[in-house]
Amino acid sequence: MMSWTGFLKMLLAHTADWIGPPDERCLVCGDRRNGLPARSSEAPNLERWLCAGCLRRIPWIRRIACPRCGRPVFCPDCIRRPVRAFAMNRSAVRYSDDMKAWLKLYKFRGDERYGDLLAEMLLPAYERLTAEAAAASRRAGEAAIAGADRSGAARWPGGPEAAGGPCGPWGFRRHGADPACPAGVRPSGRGVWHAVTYVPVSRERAEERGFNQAERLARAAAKWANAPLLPLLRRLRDGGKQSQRGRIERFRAMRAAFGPDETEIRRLAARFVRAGRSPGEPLRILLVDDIYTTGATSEACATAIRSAAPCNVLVYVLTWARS
Amino acid sequence: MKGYLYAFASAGRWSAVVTISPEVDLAFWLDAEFRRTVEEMASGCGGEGTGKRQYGKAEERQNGEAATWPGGGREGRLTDGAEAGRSGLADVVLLLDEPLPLGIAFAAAERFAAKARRVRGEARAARLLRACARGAELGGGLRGTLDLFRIFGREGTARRVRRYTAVRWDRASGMREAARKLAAAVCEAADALEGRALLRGEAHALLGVPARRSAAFVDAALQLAALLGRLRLGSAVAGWRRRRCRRCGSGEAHMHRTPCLACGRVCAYCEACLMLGRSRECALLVSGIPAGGASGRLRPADGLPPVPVRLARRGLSPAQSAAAEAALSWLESPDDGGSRAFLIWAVTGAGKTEMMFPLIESVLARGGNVLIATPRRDVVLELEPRIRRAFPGRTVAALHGASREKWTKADITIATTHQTIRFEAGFDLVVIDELDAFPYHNNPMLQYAAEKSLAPGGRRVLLTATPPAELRRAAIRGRLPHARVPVRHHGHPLPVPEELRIPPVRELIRRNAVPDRLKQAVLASLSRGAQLFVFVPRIADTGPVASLLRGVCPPGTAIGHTSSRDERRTETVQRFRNRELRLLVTTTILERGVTIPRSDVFVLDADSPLFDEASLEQMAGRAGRSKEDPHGRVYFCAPHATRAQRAAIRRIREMNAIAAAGGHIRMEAPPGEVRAGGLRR
Repeated sequence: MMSWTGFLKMLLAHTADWIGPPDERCLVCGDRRNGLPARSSEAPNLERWLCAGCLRRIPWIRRIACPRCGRPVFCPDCIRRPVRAFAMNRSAVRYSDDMKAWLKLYKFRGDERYGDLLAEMLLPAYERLTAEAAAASRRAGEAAIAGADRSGAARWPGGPEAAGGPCGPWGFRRHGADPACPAGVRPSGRGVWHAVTYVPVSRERAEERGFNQAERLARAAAKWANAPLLPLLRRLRDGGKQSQRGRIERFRAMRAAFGPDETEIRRLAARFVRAGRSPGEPLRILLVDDIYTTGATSEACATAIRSAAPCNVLVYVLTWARS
Repeated sequence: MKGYLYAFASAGRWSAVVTISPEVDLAFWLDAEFRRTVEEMASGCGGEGTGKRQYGKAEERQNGEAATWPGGGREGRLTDGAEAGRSGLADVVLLLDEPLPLGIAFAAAERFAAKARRVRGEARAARLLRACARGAELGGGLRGTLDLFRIFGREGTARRVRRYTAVRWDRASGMREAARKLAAAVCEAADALEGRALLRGEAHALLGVPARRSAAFVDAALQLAALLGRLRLGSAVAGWRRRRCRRCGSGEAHMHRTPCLACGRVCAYCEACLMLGRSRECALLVSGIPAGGASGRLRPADGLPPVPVRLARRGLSPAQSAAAEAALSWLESPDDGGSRAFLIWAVTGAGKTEMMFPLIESVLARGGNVLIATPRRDVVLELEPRIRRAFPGRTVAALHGASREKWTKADITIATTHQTIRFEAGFDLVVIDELDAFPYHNNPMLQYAAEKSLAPGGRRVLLTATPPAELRRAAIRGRLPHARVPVRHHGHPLPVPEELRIPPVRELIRRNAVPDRLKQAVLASLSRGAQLFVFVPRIADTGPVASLLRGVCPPGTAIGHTSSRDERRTETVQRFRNRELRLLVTTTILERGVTIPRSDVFVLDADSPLFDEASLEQMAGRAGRSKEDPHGRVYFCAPHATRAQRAAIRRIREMNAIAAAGGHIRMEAPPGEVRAGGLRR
């Protein structure tokens, strides 16, 4: 039972909160944000979580030096290993110490408020990747992506034809009013992606952590892409800590760690064929992960998906950070 | 994680229990030989007399009631079940064969317990068990209603109840051997977890998973320990509709709900104590059971030497002795419903730690243990060697965020305030150092944790130089027993701050000039060989002020600056301690706990709202702490006086007056004044 004076004191202490602006604190530094929210040209929604100072510390990847793996600097890896199972990787940020700390808070401490922030940070990289995938497919002479149908929605059963307008495979029409997609940040290229998938974690890790960070990121990407989020991969065994291995070992360990979920992939392919695609057109899958280091994980996952698919598959990789 | 829910009938009464290791439960309730073996072996490791059995009470009551019932046909059937050889065993166990998320399972068991009295017969018990599980799953409010649709969809695959009446534990590989191993692990777990509240992962690490034992084995041991009443298991976040973290006490405001892969549902986790591992609805919290039971375990103080003898051993000053004596008589008084907290209100530099020693000694001598909770890690590190020296032969554990010995059991535990969250009913004396400081002050979570870490009958000692207003009032009105130490251990009065009227710091930086008054004072301090603390309210000002002062000081004066944002803060402070730096510009991070033998204090922008009365008093308390230089100088530099500055100065004067009235002040004037007086004469 609260005493009278205690109640009054509580009342006084909280009055400022009630009548003042909502108590917005920066997720990272905990400082109260006052004045106008900070804006970021890259991802304007980030002011929901961050103060201006923390926003400035994000090392966005603005220029790409390696067209294959999306590295912002010269990349000897991709010269050494020019053939990859995936089409390309694009990452949102450099893996700086700040970003390392954020990912650590999210993944290992389990502060899941970071999940939404990290997903939102993926948006610029997602848009870039989508534009590049669309351009690549245009170059390959695919009529469905570019041309008169600007939105380039994939023709799925119950797709644009059924809904009578540009929309994605789910048949929903989306507007700028969508909270996940406010006016001005209209994620482009719906229909470029036929499916979004993610790098799975082992069962033990999932139970210990309670969530799969790649899946959470992929969920956001699937929403932007308006494409189905499908678990196309299975973790065969826990690869252990990747960060303690060398390059060659990473590739070797990873190859054995992932397997395709064959039924899901076959179902996806069947739907794809039923949609009346020409046999030459590739199935474009967006694979999402939190961090790209050597590309071993992406390579293994892409190989697994392609091995199980009965048709031509292009795997594009979207990662949050590029180390 | 998930757990299994089952109900069992013992002597005609139904109870529901959650288990993380169903085989152990089945054997415990249905295999007489296993039960007898583990009970015998677990009682061998001590604690049987003191640790009460979880179901012991319920069983006694049930048996008693059963005996008074008129003997009917039912009773007859039940009594032969409960005959001598099968005492405490169950007649039948009904196990839901699908595991439930832990939080839901425990909630369901609670619901079952509320309705169990009315249950007659197995069929009804099974129905109630299923209903409770479903009810707990639904939860309340809109969320529960929405869940309803999900559950109805699965109604077809409703949980089945398995019925067990007899099991035999692992006869093939030697039941006794397996039971012996389990019982040994139970003893170890009960002992190691005594006074703690740990998440499953932490308990596993403590019990040697995966190095010595497998996780499944430790789960079995924990479950068996719970059945034997040596531990308590529960979900870390509990409650129906309004969730509450059982570890840190935070309520709904700190709950964050996310879909969880560990239990397959949306489940809440506690944001408030996240830095100590994630406490969530489907996580297991293992709490130890205090050894002494509810009556307190301290022996009475009769056998100890008389108080003056004990105090004399510690070499305390008269003022310290008086306070320690008052605290001791409170600590050793029998439990008569008086206050369980004692405030020691001692000026800065009074030697609070030394005053603690007799109290710690008293509790240790009476068979108890002590927790010293302090807000800062540096204080933990500084305190540890002093405590070790003062109590040779006693075990001391120092816990902080980066310490490796997280699980050591010790007579004296020194911990940062946050670490106390991991304790439950573990200490007979909890000393809370600097209770008005960040982070303890105004933090309900840490206050809950400190309260929770007290063993039954345990007591708290609060230490501070600047008690917050409500405590001060409680002490003055006699609601809170307290002792005041108005004088420092060296017996000299506190330096009274001098007010310097200078423009605000921002203005000085803009003009790039230091007013003459400040310059003279700084130079005077430097020339008397002192080290200077320069406090500024804002982190951003530390660097500019340092370079500003560099222009004033004689060349070669080492000047540094630090703040909470400074990555090399520990190093900078260490250099200051080593006298490598003569002048340090800092924020309030150094307002407490730092002792520099010969130091003067400058508080710039003393009118800043960030410097409250307590903060000003603490900063002023950095000066004149050593016997060699008891008359440090303190300057409050501000464009104008504020209430906080005046109050701080008034309080310092007041304490000096009380000390003088009490005859604690040494009757010698500061050396400078003697010389001045001599000249004048």
